[in-house]
Amino acid sequence: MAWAPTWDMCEAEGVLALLEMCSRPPFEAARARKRPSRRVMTEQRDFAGGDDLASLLWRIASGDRPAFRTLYDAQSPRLYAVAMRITRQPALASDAMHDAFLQVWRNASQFDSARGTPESWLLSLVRYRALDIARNRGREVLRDAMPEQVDPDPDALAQLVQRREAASLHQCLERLEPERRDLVALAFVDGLSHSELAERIKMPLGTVKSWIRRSLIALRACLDGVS
Amino acid sequence: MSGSDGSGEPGDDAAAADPHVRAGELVLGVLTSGEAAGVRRAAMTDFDLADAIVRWEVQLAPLADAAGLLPPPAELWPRIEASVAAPQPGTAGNVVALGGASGNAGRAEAGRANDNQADDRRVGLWRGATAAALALAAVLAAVAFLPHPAAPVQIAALVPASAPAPAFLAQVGADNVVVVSAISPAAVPNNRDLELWLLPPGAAAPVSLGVLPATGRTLTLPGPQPAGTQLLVSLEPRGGSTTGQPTGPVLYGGALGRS
Repeated sequence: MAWAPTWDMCEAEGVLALLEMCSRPPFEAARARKRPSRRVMTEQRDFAGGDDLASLLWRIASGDRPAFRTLYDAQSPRLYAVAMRITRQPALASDAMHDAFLQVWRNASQFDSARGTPESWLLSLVRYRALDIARNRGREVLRDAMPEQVDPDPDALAQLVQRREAASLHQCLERLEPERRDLVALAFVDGLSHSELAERIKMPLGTVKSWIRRSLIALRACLDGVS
Repeated sequence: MSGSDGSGEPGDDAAAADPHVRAGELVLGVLTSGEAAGVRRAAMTDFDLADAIVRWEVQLAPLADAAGLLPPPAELWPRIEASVAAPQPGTAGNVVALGGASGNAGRAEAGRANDNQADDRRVGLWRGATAAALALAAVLAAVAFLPHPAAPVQIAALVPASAPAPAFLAQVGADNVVVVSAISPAAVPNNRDLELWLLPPGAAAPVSLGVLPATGRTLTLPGPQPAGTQLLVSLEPRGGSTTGQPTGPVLYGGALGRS
């Protein structure tokens, strides 16, 4: 590669670009630097360690505050980045994180494997709270003001293709038409609503809804087939 | 032709009704707050929809890695820690007499034994999955210590909208007294209150039953309620909604079944 993709470019190209281009060399130093903070997340099946997410949630459910702090330290950079992408404002992202972590503290006992993985449960708490806050407190004014300090994590992107569920998702996204694939990624990562998506890509609202529905149907069929 | 949203592509109405599509739209985050609340409400009684939501949550989660890592501001942890240390709002001052727990447990177990029958909605929220059995065990354990109205004839579990784990148990007596008991502590952000709502089948809008302390509350319903009437709990500004309708997300809910 004679050139290096920028974050903006990766974002514009959608998730496949993120996976493929954005995980290449210029980001390797950052990758090495960040590895330790992702340890709990990526080694969650290492139950012997006792610090995997499921164990931490069990300990939190019994009122273990050090475990709560460990979980926060391990997960907050990942989750805050998600909250920032959705709310676009540090104050709102912090509110979403505060509310979500309070739910974690109070409802950790309600997590069980029927509700997904610990990782997806935590992510969902933060995303839904951030989406609620973004929708209810008028993100409109700052919609395009991307925070400059948001830092794409190439390590995460590299890992995406290594983790099995991520590989399936990657494979299935790749089968979508590029513009629909980008729409799915924009919706999930940036938390854009149907109407915000329509505005962003300058297409009629009905078309956007229809594309999202068709993408979901295609993804569902594909994910059921590969997993 | 003509989707309900005017999208104009054939087959969209069928697609819009597909639980995987509705769940996917919720998880992607493309719905308005009102639409999302509607899907969550439906998921309380539609298990295919609830399952579909969890599957998307797990399968789409890797996409969030694209947001990267961003350390939160240093003041966030102390704020969370302070909220965790703060006492829960409300106290257990609204309980009535203890007793008769074995009767409730027996009814709940009978409900579970019948949970393959589509028309048996009594305790149908808990399906045969291991996790559900654990949840049921938790409820039964809680029921043994719960106050309950005289001769309960209706029972509902109000669960978090995002997944099937009970948060409150509502027991309605023949005297229309309903005891709403907290099974696990509800998360109530600072400066917010939970509000309880009654939504009869087919009603266009819910009726407020007032603010619900996180520890639960005993109150009297306006009259006998038909099976299928929903009890919903929304998150509202401190003191409750000022509009007469829910203004915040519906966090918990469940339908009354005849016991």
